[in-house]
Amino acid sequence: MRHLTIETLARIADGPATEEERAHLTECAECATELAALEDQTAALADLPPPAAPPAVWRRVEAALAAGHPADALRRRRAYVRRALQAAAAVAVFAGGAAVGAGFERNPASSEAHLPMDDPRSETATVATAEPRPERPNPVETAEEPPVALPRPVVVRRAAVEEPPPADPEAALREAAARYRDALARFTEERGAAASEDPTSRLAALEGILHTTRAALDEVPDDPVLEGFYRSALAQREAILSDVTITTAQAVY
Amino acid sequence: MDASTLDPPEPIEAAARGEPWAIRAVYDRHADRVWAVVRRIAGDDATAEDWAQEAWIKVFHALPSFRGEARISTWIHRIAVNVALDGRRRLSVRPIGDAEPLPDEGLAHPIDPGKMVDRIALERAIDRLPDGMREVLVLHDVEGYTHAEIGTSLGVAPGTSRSQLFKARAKLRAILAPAPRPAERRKEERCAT
Repeated sequence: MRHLTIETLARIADGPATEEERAHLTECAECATELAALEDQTAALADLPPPAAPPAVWRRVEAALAAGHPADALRRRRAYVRRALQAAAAVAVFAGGAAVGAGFERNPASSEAHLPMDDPRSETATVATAEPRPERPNPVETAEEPPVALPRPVVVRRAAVEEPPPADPEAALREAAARYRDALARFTEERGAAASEDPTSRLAALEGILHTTRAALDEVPDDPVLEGFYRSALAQREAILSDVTITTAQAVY
Repeated sequence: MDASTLDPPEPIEAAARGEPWAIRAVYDRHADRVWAVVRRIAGDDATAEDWAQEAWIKVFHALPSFRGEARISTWIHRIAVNVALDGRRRLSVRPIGDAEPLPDEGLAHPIDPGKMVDRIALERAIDRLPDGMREVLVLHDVEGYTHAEIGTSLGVAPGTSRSQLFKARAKLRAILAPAPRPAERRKEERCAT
């Protein structure tokens, strides 16, 4: 008499056995033991509890949904994120620097730079101007200047839009608004010394603004506020580069 | 039945409208079962995370078209299984039914399959099955699909699914109890008694 094969026993574990197989199992303790083990194994498989899904799965699903896979999914969350990103971009722009700011202020062609802040569509403007503006006693300020001036070009806060969407968009929004107010306060302190004419500094600051707003536009495409910042910075950069080119050419010739 | 023991109704319609709280509620209720099936078919965490994400995105995409003709748990589970099987097909270089090597070593701490108390060891043993066998074993013995359903999903005859299952059970047994005897049993031998 031969042992039953392991695959035969695996079949019998939850299925019918032939007459011959049953006869063998009544006589062969070794095969009967092996069959019992396979039956236990099969029962254990059916009873396996589901393992807990790792938190990373939800984070990935949430991020994918927020990125717009279903067009309308997580709409509210995206609205919060949009406001936070706009505010963060505003901070980046206002922290972008007086050299750039001077360009925004002086260049009449850059009126679109002010549009986002004055545009009633702008949630950033609402957030940013909801708080009392600091006094701006600087005597050089004129009536033609925009209602909000730009501080010095020292810090460009790119991280605000390069980080993943915040866990609490409302808190991120409040933080961005606070940083905006800080930037304004810094401007009032440093305004007098900020009127740099150095085109290199201004270009560096503009590059930072372009980088920041581009990243923000990746998150919230077609946003008029961010697009306004971006286009304005582009125009100013082109103007500076043009000036530099002309100046250089004049020096050469 | 005590009404307090009933689960609250699932916010399917709200989730279909894209309400974040409802999406999270549906996810929370079914996340473990989706993870279980994709993880066991995948055989590793990284692949399973990719498939789980893909499955859930498909679920939430398709949720507006869910008509309630099946239970939502069955519907979600089916999507997860399909994503996992599609993913396996994309990765697989060896179709089901082809000869697959038997792992040549047992677990470091083999468990007593007669008791089967060590579920972690069992999960690890499943991971070590060849891909095609793991699919059939998970779908049949763990998830309870029939051979006809598995055959349809995998594009094979039910008989192929059945024979693959028996091989998978045998190999799982060999992994869990790597004593010489199961290997010897791969060929019929003279019974000592």
